[in-house]
Amino acid sequence: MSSPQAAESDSTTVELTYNLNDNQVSFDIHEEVFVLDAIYGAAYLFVDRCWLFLSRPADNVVRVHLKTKEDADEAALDALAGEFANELLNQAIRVRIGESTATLREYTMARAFFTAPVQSSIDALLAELDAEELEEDDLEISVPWEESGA
Amino acid sequence: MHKATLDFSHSLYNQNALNETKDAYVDYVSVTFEHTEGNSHATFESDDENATLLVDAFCNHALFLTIQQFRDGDTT
Repeated sequence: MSSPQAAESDSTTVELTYNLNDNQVSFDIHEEVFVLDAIYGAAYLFVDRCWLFLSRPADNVVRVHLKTKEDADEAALDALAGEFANELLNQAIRVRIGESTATLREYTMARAFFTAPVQSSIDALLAELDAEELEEDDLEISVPWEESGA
Repeated sequence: MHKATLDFSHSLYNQNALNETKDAYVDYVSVTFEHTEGNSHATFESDDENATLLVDAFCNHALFLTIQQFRDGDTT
C-alpha cells in the first residue's frame, strides 16, 4: 500500500503530480484563492467518482489527491484534475454569491416568518368586495334578468 | 498482513468523522490513531487482499462525514 505523495508547487502555477502506478494525480490549492468551503464543495461532488485524500503540506495550502477507481493514463488523470478545478471555481462562486446575498436571504426569511400571513390580506379583500356588493343591494337577492344578461 | 499509514490533518478532517469512520470499518480494516497536535496519524492493518481499496474507501468515508459535519456547523 502506498500513501499519497506529491511535489511542492508555488502559488502562481498549478503543478500536477502524477502517480500512474496508483492512478493518482495530486495538486495544491491555496486557501487565499479558494476557501475551504469551496474545496469541500468540489470534493463532495467527486466523492462517488474517485478516491480522494486531502493533506496539508503547508499553512493555507491544501493538497488534493485524486485517484481513479479504474486504470487511467496521464490524459485521463489530467482531465479528472481539470474537471475538479472547474468544479472548484463553480463552488467558489457559489460561496461568494451565498455570502453576498446572505443579508437579503435573512431579510426575506424574517419577513416570511414575522409579517402578517397572506391569508389575512385575501380575507380583507373578500370583505371589501362583500361590503361593496352590500352597498348596491341591501338584501343581496339575485334577480333572473341579471343572471341571463351575464 | 498489509500495512499503511496516513496523516489526517485536523484542519481538514473532523476528528468525530474519523472516529465514526473507524467504527464503520471495524470489521474490514484495523485502524489505530495516534493523535498529535494538528494531526491524527493513522495506521491501517488488514489481511484482506483489497487492503489498498479499503484504505481509499476509508478516506472517502471520512472526508464525506467531515464535509457533512462542516456544513452542519461542527468544527471539532
